[in-house]
Amino acid sequence: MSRTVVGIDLGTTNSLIAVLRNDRIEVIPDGEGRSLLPSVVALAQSGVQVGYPARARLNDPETVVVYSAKRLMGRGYEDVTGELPHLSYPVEEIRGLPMIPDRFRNRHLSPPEIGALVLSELRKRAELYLNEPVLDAVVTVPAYFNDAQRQATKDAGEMAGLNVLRIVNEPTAAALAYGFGSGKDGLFAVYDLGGGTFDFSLLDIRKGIFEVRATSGDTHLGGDDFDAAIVSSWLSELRAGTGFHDRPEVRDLLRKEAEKAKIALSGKDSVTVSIPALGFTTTLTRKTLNDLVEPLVQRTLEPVRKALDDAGVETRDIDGVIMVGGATRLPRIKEAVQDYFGKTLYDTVDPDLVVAEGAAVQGHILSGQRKDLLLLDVTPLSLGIETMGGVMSTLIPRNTTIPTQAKEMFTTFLDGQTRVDIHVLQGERELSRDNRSLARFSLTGIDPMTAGAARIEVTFMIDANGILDVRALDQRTGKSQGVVVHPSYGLDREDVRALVKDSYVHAKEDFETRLLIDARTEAQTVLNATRRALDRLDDDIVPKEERLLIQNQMDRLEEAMKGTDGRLVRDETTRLDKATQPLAERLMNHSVQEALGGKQVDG
Amino acid sequence: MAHSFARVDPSLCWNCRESLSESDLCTSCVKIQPIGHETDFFSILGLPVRLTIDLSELTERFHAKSRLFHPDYHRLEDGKEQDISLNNAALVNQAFKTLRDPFERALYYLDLTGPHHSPQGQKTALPPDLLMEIMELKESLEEQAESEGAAGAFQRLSGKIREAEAAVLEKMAELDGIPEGTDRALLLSFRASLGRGLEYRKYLKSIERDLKTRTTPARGQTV
Ligand SMILES: Nc1ncnc2c1ncn2[C@@H]1O[C@H](COP(=O)(O)OP(=O)(O)O)[C@@H](O)[C@H]1O
Ligand SMILES: [Mg+2]
Repeated sequence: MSRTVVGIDLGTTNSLIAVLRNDRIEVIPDGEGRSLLPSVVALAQSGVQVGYPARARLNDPETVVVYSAKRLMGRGYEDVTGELPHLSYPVEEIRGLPMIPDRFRNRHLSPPEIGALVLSELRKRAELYLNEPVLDAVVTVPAYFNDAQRQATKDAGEMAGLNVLRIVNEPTAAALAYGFGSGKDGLFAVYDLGGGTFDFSLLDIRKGIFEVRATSGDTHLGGDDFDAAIVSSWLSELRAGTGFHDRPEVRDLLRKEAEKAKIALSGKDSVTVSIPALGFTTTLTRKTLNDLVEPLVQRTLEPVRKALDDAGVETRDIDGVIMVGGATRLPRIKEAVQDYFGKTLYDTVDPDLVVAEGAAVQGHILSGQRKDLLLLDVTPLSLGIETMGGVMSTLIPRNTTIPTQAKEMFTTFLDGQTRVDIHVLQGERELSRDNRSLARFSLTGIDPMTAGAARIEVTFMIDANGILDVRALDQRTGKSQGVVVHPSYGLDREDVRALVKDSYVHAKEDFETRLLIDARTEAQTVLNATRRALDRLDDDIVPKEERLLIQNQMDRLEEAMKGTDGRLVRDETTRLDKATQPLAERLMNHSVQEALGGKQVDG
Repeated sequence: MAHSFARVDPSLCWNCRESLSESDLCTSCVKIQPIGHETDFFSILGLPVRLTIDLSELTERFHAKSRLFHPDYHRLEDGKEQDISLNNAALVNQAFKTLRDPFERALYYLDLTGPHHSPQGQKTALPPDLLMEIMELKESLEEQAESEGAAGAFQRLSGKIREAEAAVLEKMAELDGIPEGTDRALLLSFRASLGRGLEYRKYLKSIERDLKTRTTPARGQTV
């Protein structure tokens, strides 16, 4: 029997897991039939939750809710300071890295650890569905994730007990999902506008070979920006001096309504929005929305031009445009893309699922069951080293097909020097400091000799995942030379190994046992949270019948926990989640009102 | 991780030690074989060392080699094979990238077949009058861009580049056509002429790059 290799779309907003079995791509649902898993982790006294229940606690003052952690993945603290105002949870700098304090357990979680929690939730979902252990996976990333971000994604997989066989670019995966490659050949553009990121790629598809010709994009452009544009127009409509503007709860509420309105406008011309809590009513038309988002729409075309330029092609050379990401449902986007290219738009596969589906196809290829398709990716950023005067010298230009390598000869400057330091950078700018620092390598243990006599050949190898490996060879002795790596961002290999070792998500015991343990832990978390909520809330908020209903379900769950059927425990937990769903929603509104009433809420 | 593939005897399979009838794949144990360090890009893709190449044939070769070596097809095999696959695929990609572009190919060819084969490449010097002409062209294009806008200047330059490229392509075909055993001095003069043509084109391309950065406002970094 061949191994099952699942495909995972680890998204900024939502994540999904899919598998290709019996010639069919299946996006694996959770116990309630939902395909998406919100990429959200909630840290509370009572435990850690992932997905919908975590997202439902977004406004619970006693919970730290971590979202958009993908934005922090593989990046330095300095790099993400611009992100922090958009995040409502604390992020602290530890050894130059952004870390999320978990005050309930007196620890800090790295972004890959947050990713690992989301991944292991998906993994559990798949194990239940497939009824077998899931070990191997393909995980997608935005096309222009740099080396450190790809490595961090791989680390997250490893910490979730997954063997990440391949990191695939999201747009490439989308093309795979469309079934290109077996039949239709040509040059295709992939336009992927998600919640917070924009990716554009040009794919040359010929006889089953997918060749990425160029990729470009913008890490800060997506549907969330459309929502923000709507919110700021509403805020200017709201009376000044109410203090509303500074309240995160208000912004949050407006943002949710803005997103709802935006989505509704994909189907009709006008929506009326009414938020009683704020005494706010307004009408949003498609025309107004189009005007609000127009600058953003135009901004997506900049990377498009850049990629076309890089590949040396023009719009008339392109055979079609594949639309990916929830935000491409916006009619104005489709129109703008159609106008720009004047070509067929491919938008029939659900833009939310398409990336995970493609990852499943790639998983199938890696499992050795399919030889007619091959993905050839390119490196999204130029790789180089720092030379004298802080200038970057490019070794591998961007959009080079990977795997690829570059060799460079190094020597010593001083007599008796035994060590040479190399600073590796990624980016397109002239000066080192304007580019991303990837890592510092030290060639160590060089035999002392006169300056310039040493000849050390260093090979910079970028693998098929876009991850850098450095090897050094002493040309005089033919022996491999010691290389010590200090990644600039992201975790040391030692850190990762340590985390994997004590990570509770990584357990090599029997699959059923793990399932049961996980299910029990999750159940206990939900039980504790529910019990605490019920104790705290009086009958105006939780009417007697509802309280009874919840209580009954809690009893059923506790009964199941006494047994050894992990699946039953999970199902009962899901039922409890469902039973408390209306309450959670009411609580959220309640906390908004409380905030407006002037009570200080410490978040 | 194996770092080098210095094999005792490259005519034997690294795995089963059977003698190899083809260089890429062992026919008895079906393991891919490492591409040697000295193998040139033409041979890597199974092509004769020539300046003119049929692009569709080149692409086909590239695809065939990729299907053989790409790490995606060797992911579940053991470490040694994964390593060979990674190295080979990297070389195949480099070979294709170099040979796909006729001008890069020509530079590589001259370097590979030249008398002092060196990884640094050879320096071709342009005659002073040609250098002078290039300088003057640059200045006049800059003036034109300044006074009447960049479009006209680009157009004039593109014309020049097209001419230069056509001349280079012609020289490449000529050099391929020279029969074996031709007078060495004649061959060298053809080679030198091709080298100058490439160098001249390189100057024009760098003028184009300069002109572009001067006339387009710095775009936002999209990283
Ligand atoms: N019908 C719709 N019209 C407009 N935008 C939509 C629609 N449906 C979803 N979106 C937007 O799509 C975005 C999420 O896209 P998705 O591809 O899931 O994101 P990511 O890949 O970043 O996780 C959100 O901003 C959401 O508001
Ligand atoms: Mg996405």
